[in-house]
Amino acid sequence: MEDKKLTPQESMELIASMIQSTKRRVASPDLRISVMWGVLVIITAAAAWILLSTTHNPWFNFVWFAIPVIGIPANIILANSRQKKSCTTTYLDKVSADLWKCVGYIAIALTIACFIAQQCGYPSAWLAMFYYAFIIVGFGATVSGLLLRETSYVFGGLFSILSGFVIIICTLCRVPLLYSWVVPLYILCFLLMFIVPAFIISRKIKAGEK
Amino acid sequence: MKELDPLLHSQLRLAVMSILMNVEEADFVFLKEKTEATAGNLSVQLDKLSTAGYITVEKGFVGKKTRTVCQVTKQGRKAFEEYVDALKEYLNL
Repeated sequence: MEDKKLTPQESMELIASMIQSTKRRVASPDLRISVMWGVLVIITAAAAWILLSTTHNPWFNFVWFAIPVIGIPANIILANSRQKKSCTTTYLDKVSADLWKCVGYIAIALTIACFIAQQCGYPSAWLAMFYYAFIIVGFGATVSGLLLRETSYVFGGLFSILSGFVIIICTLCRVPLLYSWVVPLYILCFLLMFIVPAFIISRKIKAGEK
Repeated sequence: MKELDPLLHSQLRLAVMSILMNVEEADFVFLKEKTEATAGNLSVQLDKLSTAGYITVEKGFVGKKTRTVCQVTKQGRKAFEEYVDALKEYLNL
């Protein structure tokens, strides 16, 4: 392309072709971060479930800390590598990144609050992290799905939010929250929120490329 | 009939503005790839758009590599919209 003058018709055609050429990039989110969080949460939950149900040793609850300890550095590495590869940032990229940042900040604030509550003699406060994972993360997935117009994200997010409310109702009605059903539900929610939509989107992208 | 903005009425500058209107920001490599322009020519045209206040050009680093990121300004957005309106008049759209 050169610095040549155009006719009005050529100008219009050029604008249309440039818009078309950037359009595909707008609809292809980076799925690696989503899959990383999904896999990490599912493996951690499964490990905690197996260790706690076989040993009944409450110290294995510390396994849950693998989520932020591994997830945050992995997220930073993946986000940086995306920045190296990616050549454009769309409005959707920014909104989506800010949305998940908010979800992350809530997690950090809640972890600190739960830690303080534990120090004050209320260890059951950690249950709030479950409500957070079901409802706040679910809300994040739902909004992401609406932004990307991806129904599977919206479905996964809504399923998780509803599961969160079931957990709250059970807590209020003093129904025991047993690992045997809460953790599998938790794993199912993360599977539906992160893994399944990523799989569906990547298939759509591949089909589009063909 | 409105006069077409001479700054936008050039193939390469119009292509750059059309891309930037469609995204939040784009880097030099992306613009070069999409416009198929030479680095030197693209650099000159980006300078012209930047001097006119139509885009901002920020130079930064990603790791050890330099990265030049361009973003359309409010003034640039307005100028582009007026340019498209003028084009429509010319083409009787």
